[in-house]
Amino acid sequence: MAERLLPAATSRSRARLVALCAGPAVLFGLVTLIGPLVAVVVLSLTDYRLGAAHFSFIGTRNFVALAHDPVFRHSFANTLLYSALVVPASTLAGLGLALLIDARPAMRAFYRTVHFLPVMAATIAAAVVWEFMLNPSLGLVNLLLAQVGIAGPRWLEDPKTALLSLALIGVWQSCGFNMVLFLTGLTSIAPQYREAAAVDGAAHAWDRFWLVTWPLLRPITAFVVVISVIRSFQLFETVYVITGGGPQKSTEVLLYTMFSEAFEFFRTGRGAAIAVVFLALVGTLTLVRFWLFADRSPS
Amino acid sequence: MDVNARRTRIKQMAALAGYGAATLVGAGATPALAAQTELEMLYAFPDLFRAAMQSVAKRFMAANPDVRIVFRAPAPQYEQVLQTVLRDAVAGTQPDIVEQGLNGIRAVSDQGVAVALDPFIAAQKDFASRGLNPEMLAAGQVKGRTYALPFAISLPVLYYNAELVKRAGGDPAHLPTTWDGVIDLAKRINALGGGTNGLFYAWDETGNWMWQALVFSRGGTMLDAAERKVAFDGAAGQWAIAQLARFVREARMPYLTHLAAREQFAAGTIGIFATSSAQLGAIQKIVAGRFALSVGVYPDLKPGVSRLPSGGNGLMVTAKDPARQRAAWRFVEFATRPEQAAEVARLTGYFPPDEKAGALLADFYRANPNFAVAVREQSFASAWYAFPGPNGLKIIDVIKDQLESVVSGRRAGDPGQVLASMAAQVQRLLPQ
Amino acid sequence: MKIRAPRRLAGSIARHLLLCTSGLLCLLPFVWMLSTASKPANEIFSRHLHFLPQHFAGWRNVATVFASVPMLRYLANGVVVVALIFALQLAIALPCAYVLAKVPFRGRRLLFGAVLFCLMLPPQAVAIPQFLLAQRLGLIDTWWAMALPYLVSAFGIYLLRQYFRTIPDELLDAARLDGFGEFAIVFRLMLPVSLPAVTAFGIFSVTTHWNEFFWPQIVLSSPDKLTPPLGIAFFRNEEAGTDYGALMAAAAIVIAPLVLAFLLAQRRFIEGIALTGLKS
Repeated sequence: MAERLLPAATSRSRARLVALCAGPAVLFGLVTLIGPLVAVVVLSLTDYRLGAAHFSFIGTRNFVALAHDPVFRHSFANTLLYSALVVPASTLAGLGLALLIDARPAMRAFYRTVHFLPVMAATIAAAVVWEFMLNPSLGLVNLLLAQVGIAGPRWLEDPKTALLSLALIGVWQSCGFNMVLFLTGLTSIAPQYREAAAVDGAAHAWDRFWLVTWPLLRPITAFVVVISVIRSFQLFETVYVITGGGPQKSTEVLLYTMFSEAFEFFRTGRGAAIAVVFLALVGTLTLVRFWLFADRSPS
Repeated sequence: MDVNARRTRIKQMAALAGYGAATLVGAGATPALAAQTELEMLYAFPDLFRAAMQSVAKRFMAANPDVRIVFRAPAPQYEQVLQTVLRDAVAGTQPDIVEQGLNGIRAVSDQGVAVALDPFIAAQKDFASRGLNPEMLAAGQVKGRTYALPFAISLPVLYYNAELVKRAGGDPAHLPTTWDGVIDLAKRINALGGGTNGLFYAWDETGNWMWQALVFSRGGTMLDAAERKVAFDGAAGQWAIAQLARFVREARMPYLTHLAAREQFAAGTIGIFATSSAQLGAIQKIVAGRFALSVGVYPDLKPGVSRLPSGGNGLMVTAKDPARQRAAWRFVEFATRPEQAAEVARLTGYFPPDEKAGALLADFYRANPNFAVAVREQSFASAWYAFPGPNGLKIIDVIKDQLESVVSGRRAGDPGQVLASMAAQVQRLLPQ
Repeated sequence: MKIRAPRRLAGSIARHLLLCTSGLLCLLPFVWMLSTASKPANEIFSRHLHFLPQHFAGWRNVATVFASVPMLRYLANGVVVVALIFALQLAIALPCAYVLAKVPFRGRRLLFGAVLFCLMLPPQAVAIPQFLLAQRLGLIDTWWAMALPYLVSAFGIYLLRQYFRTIPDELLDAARLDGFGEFAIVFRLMLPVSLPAVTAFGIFSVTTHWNEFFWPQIVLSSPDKLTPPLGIAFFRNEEAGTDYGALMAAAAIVIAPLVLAFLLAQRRFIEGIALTGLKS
């Protein structure tokens, strides 16, 4: 850095400036974020019950119990399954939509708006609407299917299709978000690349995409995938409002189990253990992302 | 530029303050009464109780202008009332009065949140004249101390769609009194076709209530006398789970939640609906005269052997401050008076726990025989059981899951196995 | 570039067809919501597929919502809460981002690393201790409790810091020569100059916290403090699932503000998302 006027005349006044500016953030950060992070790990090693006067340390007993608890195992599996259903679908949908919208200038803003609208709807409200849409006898989906002579499934009431129904809602709500991310990526690819490719003989749109667009889109696709996975792990509201983990725990997911254990069954130590598992899961993903794209340091 | 920025921030702050002030004013907007005590009350089952609660509160406030009753967002079921009270208790922000399911009174008092009502009762001169059933009073007691005044009581009954019964060859005036009879009737209703189902048994009622009904009606209990070992896997429990399997396999009971089933019963596509007598008011409203509704007794009740879990709730005082506790007691005492109890009974389907209210309702019961069925079962009433220990709430969930595996049809062919795994899981969750 | 007209037209039509179909799918729930909200009960239960009501019952359904739950109060609460949260977030994040971007000091890298770390932290994982903290501080059922987990927005700090770094130092030097104190620089210079980033931050914050359910559900209980999403859950319990018309009307009332805001300020929203996406 070249010599320039440094902020604050003396290093002491600079220290004061830093303390005043960053102080609140550091203080509140420690109290409301870092502190709780440590606390949740500590709690996971206890048998704390919400509202209890005393509790004791029980080591890793909570984790061992979780490993043997069929509900937790089911919950963990459901979370991964839900993610496997939603992430590829909403990433591909987002990519497809972005490519289509970007392909021609006609009505771009309109299409962008229409597809982004689901993202704006409060999840709870959207969940309530979808619940009614998937009502086996009165809902739009089955009524439409009946028009073409198909007897629609029980959707949210059938353990075989409940998680799928939630995945459907999840894809609906997130494809618009992914679309915008991809659109940004696409517009940042200079048009001369694509023209150059066209001149070079890649006259077909597909060739252009494969040879030019896709390689340049790969980093943003990876970003979208990781973000989508982390968001899919955070599924809670639709489960809480519509299914309550049912039917038969087929929609029981990690955060919902954590909430139930901590705030409904009052086995808060257990809830904290689930939170730690959740953290480990997200942490692993984040590490993977950093490891894969270590060169993409913030500019 | 900086002037604009400052203006923007001032505008933001002003707007914030404005909204804040407006909301505060809105929240506190009551006619200026000096020293008015405001009590927060939390109740459950708004679809059943809302009208009754508001009526009782209105009458109370008319007679006691120095106390204002404010209702919290009602809980869907009793479990959520319990959770809210316990959750809020640590910070001391719990509601002042709660309507707690009879199976949850113990949990609230164990945590030291509930106020013992015995001193208030002793000071109440006319309390004994209410004719409160001793069993009912006992339902609100824990270890001999009263923590809840029973407010509204219910027992399991069977609702019949009289038209479907007639079409199936039955007689709405002589409804079956045995499960065999009920299942037989259900099969005949199934045979009517047109997508009608014969029977629905509300397996997912809060707190495993209808499961306890099956077991208790056969003379069984949940745990042994020492409350350390599972007892519902005995003969009574085996019969109970076998019955549930029969409902699914023979009577072709549909796999629904009890709320969805209520909808279908009211729409006329389910013939027999076994659930709480408390639902009567709500069901009548939803049926809206579409068909004649008949209520029948819970089947296979044997005097001296059978018991039934008392559903319903009691009112508890959970206020912290002694002055508020006294005000809360005034409401609790008022709400459980015979006149109010009779009003609640008329609006819901619950029946009052005391004889005086029962007497007030004699004409009502004569004119509305459906409401009187549960009252006739009173001699079989016993406590709604709550499992001891820190995992009590989890146990309810575990049992419900097991019942669901039968009701969904998945394990309806092997009820014995389901009962065994239920017993094993619950045993593991009991305090050692 | 040689363009072949027929292929171009075919491609164009195909694109429109596909996008219209997918657009319809995206809009279908909204359409169904409004359609049901405007129907009376007998039409809803008729099992006959029709979008337009025979008898318009929309106002009646809306009236039911407002009569059953204080929806207006909830909407007002929502506004207060998101405004409060964003104001606090901005007040804390702005100076912090400034020193991270423009003031070299020992431990700056550590602090920035901590910000990045907190960025990765999923908020729900620490909800249990945050709840206990709010309990201990006696903040349960207050709006301060609503703001507690979000006071320090790692996202906001990160976004603003990245943006600040693009502001040339010369601007700051000139300001200092003019006699601006450091605080003046932060609030009277940096804030206005980085308005796009602040707006993006604001949009992100407002959208997230208006739509939020998990944390408010844990800390709020008084009926007059509920926010719109909690209001819907409350209303759903009240009706126990029988009055679908009113339920859809309630959903529409809660969704409407953000959707309207979005439609009016689309570019800002989308730019905001793009900004956040790119910068991460």
